[in-house]
Amino acid sequence: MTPSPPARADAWNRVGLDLQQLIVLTDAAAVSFCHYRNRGARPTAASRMPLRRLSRVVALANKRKLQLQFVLGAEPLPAAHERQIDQAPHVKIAPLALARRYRDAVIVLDGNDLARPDAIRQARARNLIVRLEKSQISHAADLLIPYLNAARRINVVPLDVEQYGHADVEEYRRQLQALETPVAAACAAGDAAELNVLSDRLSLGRMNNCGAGVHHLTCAPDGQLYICPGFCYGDKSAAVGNVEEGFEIRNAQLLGLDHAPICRTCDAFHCKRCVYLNAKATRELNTPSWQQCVLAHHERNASRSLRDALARLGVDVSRLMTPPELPYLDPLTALPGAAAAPRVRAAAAPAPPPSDREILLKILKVQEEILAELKKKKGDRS
Amino acid sequence: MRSPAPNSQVGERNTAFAASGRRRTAFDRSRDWEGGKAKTVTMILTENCQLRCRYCYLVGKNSHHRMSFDVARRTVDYLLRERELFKDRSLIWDFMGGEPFLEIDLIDRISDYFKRQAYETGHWWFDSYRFSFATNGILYDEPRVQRYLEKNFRHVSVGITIDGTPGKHNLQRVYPDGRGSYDDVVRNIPLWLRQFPEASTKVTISRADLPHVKDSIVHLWELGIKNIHANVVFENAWDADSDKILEDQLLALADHIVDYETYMEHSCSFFARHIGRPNPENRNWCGAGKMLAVDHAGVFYPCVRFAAFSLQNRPPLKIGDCVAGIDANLLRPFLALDLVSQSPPECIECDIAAGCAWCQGANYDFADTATIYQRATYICRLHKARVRANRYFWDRLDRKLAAPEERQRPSTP
Repeated sequence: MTPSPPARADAWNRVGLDLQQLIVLTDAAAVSFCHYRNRGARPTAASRMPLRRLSRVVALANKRKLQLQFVLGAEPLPAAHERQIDQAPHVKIAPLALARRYRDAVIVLDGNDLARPDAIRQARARNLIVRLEKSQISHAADLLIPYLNAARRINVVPLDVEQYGHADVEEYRRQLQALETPVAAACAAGDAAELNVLSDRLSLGRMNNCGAGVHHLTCAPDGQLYICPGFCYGDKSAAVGNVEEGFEIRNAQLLGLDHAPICRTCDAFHCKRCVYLNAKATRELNTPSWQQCVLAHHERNASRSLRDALARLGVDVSRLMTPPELPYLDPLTALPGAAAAPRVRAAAAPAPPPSDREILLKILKVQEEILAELKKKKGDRS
Repeated sequence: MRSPAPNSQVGERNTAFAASGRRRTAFDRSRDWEGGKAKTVTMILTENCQLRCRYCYLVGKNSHHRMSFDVARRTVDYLLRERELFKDRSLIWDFMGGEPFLEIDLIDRISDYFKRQAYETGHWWFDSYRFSFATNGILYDEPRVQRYLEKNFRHVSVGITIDGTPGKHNLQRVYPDGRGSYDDVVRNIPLWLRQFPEASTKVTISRADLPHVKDSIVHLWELGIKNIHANVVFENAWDADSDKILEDQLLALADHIVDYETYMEHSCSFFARHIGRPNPENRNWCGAGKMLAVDHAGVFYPCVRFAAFSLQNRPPLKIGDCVAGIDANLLRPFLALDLVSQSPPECIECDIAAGCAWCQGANYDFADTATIYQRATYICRLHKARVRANRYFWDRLDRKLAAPEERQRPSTP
């Protein structure tokens, strides 16, 4: 079903309720900054977003009060494009090659960039996105430690997680463990970067996920809109609209937490809950792969361990969250009726105390039974 | 469209009101083997069938897709090997097609192979398995079929599909040339019921069948089939007065059951205590994903409704194959399904939702996007009609059973 233009246009009017950001790929060869891969495209004048369209996008964002994130390719933008994007407050996401040119940009480091001396120089006081290949996981801690005292924030993005086997997952856990001491020491010294996989969970009391399709959309250089950049580089029918006509996401409810049964009760609050990876691995936007779930749980467990390490070093942790111990690593196995799910269990740990909700449900259940018994007795008497 | 086998939860719910202090009627008794806890593996042996039933969801019937013994053997080996994945206490081999009895020799070979391998590997299923058949009944008296049934008798269940009166049956269940199949099926019913006295049949109802519902169910009871599973098709196949016609039919059926006191021996799934209550819990109704279907090529599906020949609008939804096994990630959406995540708000908040069914395969086929998380609700008004008739039925039956002379009569075990 193709939505009619009025329905699509109306979608912009809902902006402000949920949609807060627009990610703009300024070039078909824009740097990949998350789990997806932008393969093949070379930066040329033809691959760049035309100035007129860029102007339209900026005007739209200003009108709709959308924050803009411009994702850049390997080449600097032409001066006219730069002037255009400066018409609105924005964030730039750029490859290492453009770090010197755009001092305010978030820099994307691919695994091979990490060992380059200029990468550490450019990383100083910056927000970094570090994309780690599966083959680099075994020495991820060694690659990241030099950046702990340099960057302001490091977002680690492990690639191809849907291809991780159990051994890879275990290696990932070991690398998180190896990062604990250096991160704790840097924190104690007061100059540690935030490291998403270890520190984010400690500051979150509820889910704080990517929000693709809910809080942000992505605009490709041709003006087509997608749920996130990951969907731009595959099936073109994944487009949900365009900047001229508006957009409509069919079954958009599946992007929300309340329609994600595995995630709804999960407490890996820092998890990206990447809907692109979900669709890639399980074919459903609302269902994460076991790898995503288990990695996120190793991260939350490592965060908990980091909190303890900080306390031992005398750091005030009173304002940090304490993720409770859990007897599982894959929240699917904790769902009622999912007994057939292949299980990935954590090392034996005491069961967490029941939450208020669980206690209330138990009370309700007991009351139902009492009610049923009372009704039966009443029926018998009559 | 024919629906998948009735969900085991129905049987479990039927037992929930058994101990109510009054006589147990046929509507109170559970008939699910192993209480619905067994693993069901559907083997799609052939996509061929003698019939071309007009409501059948198997839209791509053909004679060239037949399962080889090698595919079946690999499937048996995989299931017996993966004990961590398949921990179910019991196993039901659900042989289906097309028409399964067209492949009786292959079935015999697979059955023997399974029994031998289960014994040799010391698998617990050796002591707890069943071979189940949903057949059109045309070949039921064929000597090879009878030999197989005799050989495996204590481990076999057979359901013959017969839709009711000759008129109703022949309206839908026809040969490729349009001839009705009633006479070829009904001649085998006595033999079937001698061998399986507690057997049930499944009645599928589409728009054209509605005026025949009551007469058809009564007719099946008169043939000696005591338990009838009936359901309406899930497609957008209904018009403005369908619910009214169904309600009238069910009210007439309710009167028949109570007036003629057929309730002690005969049941029909249109009437059950739990129907019409609010949703008791946030569970999925359909068993897709908890069961497994295997096609002729050894491809695994979460249920037969996700195989290519069952789908009209979407590509097949595979979850693995007999060589590589099940892809755990492709199974996860099915294991995670619950009521809330797939239903529109009006269904979640519905006060009479219990008993309102859905089919995951139909949902996938009719959804706006390629998802199993969008529930098709075409049967909403029909469910409401059923709820009204169900209330009428239980009100009449309870008043009848509460009568002093009725309370003194013994229950049927």
